[in-house]
Amino acid sequence: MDINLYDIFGTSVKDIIKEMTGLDIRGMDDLEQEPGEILSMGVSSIITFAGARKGRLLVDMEPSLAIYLANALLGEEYDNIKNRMVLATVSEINNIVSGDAITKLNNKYSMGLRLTPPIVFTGQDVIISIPKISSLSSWGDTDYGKIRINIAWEGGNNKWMLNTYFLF
Amino acid sequence: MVKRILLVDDSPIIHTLLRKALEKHGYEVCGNAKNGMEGIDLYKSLKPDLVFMDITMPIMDGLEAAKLIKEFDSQAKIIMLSAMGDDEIVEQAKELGIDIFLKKPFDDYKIISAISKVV
Amino acid sequence: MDVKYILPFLESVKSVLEQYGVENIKRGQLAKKDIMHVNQDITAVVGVVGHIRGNIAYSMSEDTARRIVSAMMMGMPVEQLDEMGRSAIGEFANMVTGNASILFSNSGLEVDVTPPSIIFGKDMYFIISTVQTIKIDMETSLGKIEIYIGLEI
Repeated sequence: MDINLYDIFGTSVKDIIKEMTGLDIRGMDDLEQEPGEILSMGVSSIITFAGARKGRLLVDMEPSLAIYLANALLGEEYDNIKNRMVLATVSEINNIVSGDAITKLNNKYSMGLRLTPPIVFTGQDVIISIPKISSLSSWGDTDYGKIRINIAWEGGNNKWMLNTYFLF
Repeated sequence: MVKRILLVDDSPIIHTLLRKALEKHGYEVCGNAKNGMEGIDLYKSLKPDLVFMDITMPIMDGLEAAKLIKEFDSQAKIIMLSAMGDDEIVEQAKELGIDIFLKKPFDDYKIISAISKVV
Repeated sequence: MDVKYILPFLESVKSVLEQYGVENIKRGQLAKKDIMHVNQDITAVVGVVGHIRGNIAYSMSEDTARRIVSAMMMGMPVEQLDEMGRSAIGEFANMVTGNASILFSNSGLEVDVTPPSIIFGKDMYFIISTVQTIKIDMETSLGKIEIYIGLEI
């Protein structure tokens, strides 16, 4: 299996949301450079990792999708994005996606990456910025709202990064 | 025969999902622990037939807790259920005599067939 | 959460700010939070992995952030928090957490600091840990910094 430091996350997020809730994510096939700042669509979760490299996965989605995922998973009828269980669902999905992707990277490249716990947040006019690291985003759409992932790796002067860039 | 099951995981979402899957198939969740330390205490007081154990948890991780549970009861049946499952972690679990290692996410089939293999 | 895991972060905020000539740094009360409701403009979050695993968030008003960046730039006036200013706030969070990791390492705990994220917004709700988050306010001559520590120990 050919995997690289960026594509792996898109594959994981599609597979895992499908497996957990049955929901199909359309798109999420291309990666685009972000200008440095990301305007949140409503609910965002961040997991960071450190080992041979340091990096970050942001999962960002529209509130309607977060609420759908929580209700589909837990069999509830939540309607408030600030509900603890709705936020915890987004966190847990990020945790499983990151765990899946990082497991594959560790096995393939012996990167020894370890994950932080997820953070999750929602608010008004939310902008996320990661200083000094260029990041790539991938967009997807579902019947219940849009989702985006954004992947950032610190540094870049090594074989993984080079492989990755050449693959584009 | 596995009947009473202890769940050890720091995520309330995982507790809810596991409970739904297990109860649907006639199993009883006899205890819920949020970390490895609580897991050991509940194992000792509840004597469950089987434990579902997460790895990355506060206070005490699941590998350490599994080791201590096995020391307390060498016949303890433990299924690891973890978001992370790289070779190094799986190897550590194997050395502890863990029965089965499952990676999240999971569905009913994955959970129920793992239980049937433990018996 | 044992207070010995919290003190290095508070010490580090103080010593990094003092390095930039900030005075009158006072530590407020500790509070425990499940969900964090943040009314500040800016939150910088940094993670740690290793012997200690978790997230630390530093929240402040935009005015306080501008004053901190100005202090970091030897008093250069900062009128707007542009991209460079935001990057400086990330650097501040990174420095504080990195400094704390050195204090941990001196007591035998190895800790790696992960990349910072800077989050802007109003009326923010955060969960940064599966365990309770400890909140401490630090009053400084540049304004208030709210520190949230969610460590899984």
